Amino acid sequence: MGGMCMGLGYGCREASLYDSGAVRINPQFRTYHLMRFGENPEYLVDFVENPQIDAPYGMRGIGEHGIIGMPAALANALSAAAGVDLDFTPLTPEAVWQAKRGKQQ
Amino acid sequence: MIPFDFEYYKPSSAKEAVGLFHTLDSQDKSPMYYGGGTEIISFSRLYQLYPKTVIDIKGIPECNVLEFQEDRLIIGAAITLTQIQESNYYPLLSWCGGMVADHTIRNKITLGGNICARIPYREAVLALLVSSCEVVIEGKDGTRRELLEKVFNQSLRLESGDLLLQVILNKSCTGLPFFSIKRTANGKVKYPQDRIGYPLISAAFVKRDGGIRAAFSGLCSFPFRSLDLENVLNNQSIPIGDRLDRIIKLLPAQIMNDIDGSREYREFIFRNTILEALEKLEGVGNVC
Repeated sequence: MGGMCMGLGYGCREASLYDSGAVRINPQFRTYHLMRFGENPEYLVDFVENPQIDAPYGMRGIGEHGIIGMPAALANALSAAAGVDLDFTPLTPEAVWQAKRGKQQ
Repeated sequence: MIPFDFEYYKPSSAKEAVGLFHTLDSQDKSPMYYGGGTEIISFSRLYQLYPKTVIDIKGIPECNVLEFQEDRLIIGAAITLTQIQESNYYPLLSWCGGMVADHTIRNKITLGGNICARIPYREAVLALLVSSCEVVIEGKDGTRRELLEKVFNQSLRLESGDLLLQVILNKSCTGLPFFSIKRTANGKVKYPQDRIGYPLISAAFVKRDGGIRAAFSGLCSFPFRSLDLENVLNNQSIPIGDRLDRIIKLLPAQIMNDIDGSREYREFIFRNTILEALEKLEGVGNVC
């Protein structure tokens, strides 16, 4: 669930921004926005059991696997909703607005 | 952590505080009045502020008043935004102050601090700008009362050493119908604030004397209310789309353009905010 939250954060807001001199312009949590508690949707977690055969007892580390699919899932959902292909991150409201406007023009 | 030492004073009267300020200033000790301290601490931590002395105003009785006195609401400068929200004597001020930072920080941020802050947003000011309130200021020559609209232009115009003691509102202003909204880069914010972040726009609209008064922050680099803008906003003989186009031209400064939101996106949000306010307060309906 933590991984899903992190993935959603990367998908919808987290980005390292630099000025023209390659100086980081959002070096603090004041300007680099994380998903906060309460902004998250309800997460539904289920496990696809797939033993790792070369590990003791078939154990598999699952930390952060939840991150990987989330940005793409969000992009698919927003692309369908906005009617425009969104194939980049972060998908902020402004980014979706710009993409839609680009299509209209 | 604050990476330097400073002296701390906590006077128990306004006169003493102002006297202390001028004495310390003449000794080149760069005094600052200290309310909640959130800006002094965060700026000092980033080496953007170096007060050699701070004068805590929380020991001054006038600064700690929060009550109705006959037909007036008196709010001391050291009253926190959380106290304002919890008392809820002036709901619009609860809303606007409630847009600032997060709950833990609002426990520290004072009304006086938010009015006099360096940060561009200062949302508590919005509720005050639309309510014709007065401010009580202690200066070298004693205590004076001024209309906020006369002394607030982008920021509160004070002489060096002047101390904001109180805000005084007419009780009749505190119950007017209002609409208030905040939008951040990540979307709309409900009240109580469910999403933290600097505003692309924060706005307060009040319906009064048949017209709408409006104040904005996040749009330009300071909070403002504009009578010219309101005249157009309230001119129902002009189609709404044309009103919006005219309003954009009447803004007191360029729309902000930063990593939270581009100038054009802020304008888009601003237009929608005005439409939403008209719909809520005028029942215009179907304007979006």
